[in-house]
Amino acid sequence: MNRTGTIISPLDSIKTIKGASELTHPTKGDCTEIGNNRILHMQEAEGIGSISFPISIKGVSEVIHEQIMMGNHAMMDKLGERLVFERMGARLYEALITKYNGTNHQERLPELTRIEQFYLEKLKHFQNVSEVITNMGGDPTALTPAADVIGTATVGWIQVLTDPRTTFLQSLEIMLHLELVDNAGWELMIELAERNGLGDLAIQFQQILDEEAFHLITVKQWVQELTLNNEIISPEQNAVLEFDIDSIIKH
Amino acid sequence: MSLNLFKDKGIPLEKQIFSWKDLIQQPISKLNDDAFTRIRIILMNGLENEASFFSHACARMNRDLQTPLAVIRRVEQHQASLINCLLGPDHNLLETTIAYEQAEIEITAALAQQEMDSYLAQVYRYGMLEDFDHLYRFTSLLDRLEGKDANTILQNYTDIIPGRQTKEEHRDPHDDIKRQYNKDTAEVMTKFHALTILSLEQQTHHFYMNIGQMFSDPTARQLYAEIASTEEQHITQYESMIDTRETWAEKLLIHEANEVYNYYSCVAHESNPRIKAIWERFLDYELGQLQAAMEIFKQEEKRDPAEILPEKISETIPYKSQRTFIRMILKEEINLKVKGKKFITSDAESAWTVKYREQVNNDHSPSEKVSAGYIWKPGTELSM
Repeated sequence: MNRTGTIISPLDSIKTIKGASELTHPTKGDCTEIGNNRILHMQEAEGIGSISFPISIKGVSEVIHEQIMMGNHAMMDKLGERLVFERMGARLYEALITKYNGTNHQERLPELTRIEQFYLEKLKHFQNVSEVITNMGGDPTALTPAADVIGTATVGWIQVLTDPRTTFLQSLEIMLHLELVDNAGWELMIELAERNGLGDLAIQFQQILDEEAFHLITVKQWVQELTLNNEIISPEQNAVLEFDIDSIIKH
Repeated sequence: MSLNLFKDKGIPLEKQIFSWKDLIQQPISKLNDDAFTRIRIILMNGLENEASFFSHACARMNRDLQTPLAVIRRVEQHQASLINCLLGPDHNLLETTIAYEQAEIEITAALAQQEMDSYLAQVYRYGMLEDFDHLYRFTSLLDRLEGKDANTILQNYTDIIPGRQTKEEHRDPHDDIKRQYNKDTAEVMTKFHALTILSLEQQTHHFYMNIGQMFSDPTARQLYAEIASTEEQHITQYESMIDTRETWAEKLLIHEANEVYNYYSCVAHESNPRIKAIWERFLDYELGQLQAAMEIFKQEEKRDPAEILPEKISETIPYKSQRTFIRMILKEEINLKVKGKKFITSDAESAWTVKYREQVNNDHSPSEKVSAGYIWKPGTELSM
């Protein structure tokens, strides 16, 4: 029985609502105070960090060489982000395969071989990016600011996939988030490569994007099919949702 | 029904065993389990951690006790791990914080009513109104940072209303020291209550000290620093109530017996059968640890543990909403202040507290900033 709402405890919730409304005399102001404090700290903030300093630069123009050496070039920063994203993506697909293997009624789920294919492609993309960074004189073992930020942002995805209580579909929805962001990320990388006169790299990234686009469309379709086929809640969880009048009265 | 501390011997220490799989059991459901199940988990984790801290301090001062204490402590270590991991990973840091504050409020309010020593009951009521305010501040933070409703954790049991304003809670350390109970004349339940509340406050303090830095938002980081500071005051005031003339062995005995009392309370009130089985198992473990503590006491003190402990325990902590009591205390005691060990109704606080408070609040108050204009509504303040 879900106990999180107010309707489940009509008498107690009325007391809580009336109490808050009648007995709270807040100080002046509103939620913008938190934002204002954040602005104050933004003015003192020193940033997340810098990109690692390339040892040597190969295959790039003088201008880019200078920019990279200055330590603020978006290309190297975003390559670092793609690297951690693809590496994490591979781990998330591993977790999805584990979720598949631990799920009953696998006949209702997508083909495992397809999921395994996507896993191998994420792994390949990670290795591709690693090579590109190395070839440009960068350090694929270093963490760039964009990579660090994406790592912070996606902590919750890993939590969902590795929680034994979540279903295959709940996990798959996270993979949809991942693929949406991944596609946007590669589109941007192609643009960056082209603007920096790195045509060969742009072609290589387009091949990666083609594979990612297929991941996205496929995962999106799986999520739609499984959701529309009412696979959201397992039979075991449905049983818990049955109306339990004794518990409500007690509550 | 009651428990005989001398005849109910539980499971002997050597049979109190765990495996790694056993340590990590299925967590409770944030959505479906009762809030009081979560409260018991938080409290019992705090009690096991206090047992460990005390045991380590005792071992550092008593060479002869190091081995027997280490044997008990290893079990307590694993009990704490098992209990703490009953909280599911979908309780994020701030949601867990809400649950910690609810635990402090409901348990302190419950024990304040059971406490026979009127002075100590006053100390509990005073501290409770401060934790009550923390809940309001953290509720606002949860709403305004994450767009989440704290009542999904509180389950309508606990009010979300300001208590004694957090910014007014900051006192000079001299005003945190309270009168001690007398070990020779105090009821054993008085000793249990003090240790229970102390353990919970200490757990909360440690939790806030460890997670404050995990927030990005500066106001959140400041609020955790501010409230952790008041939790430190609470630890100071609650530990100062405990008679310092109790010997190490006597304190060990009280710690173990208090854990028995607490597990016994959990068993009596638990609604989740799977969690209840854990409380029953650990009640048996604790009775076994109490037997070991009695042996240590006999050897060290050449005294009978019955001089310290009652034969039977029949009281339990009433795990239910204390809303009516809290509202009454809120109305009657919100303006109470402390000066040294005394509670006063005037504004004549000590000069050092006035100075200290002015100093810490001098640039701004995080607890005021976070809840400026905030009134809780079901579904968050963004609800129509």
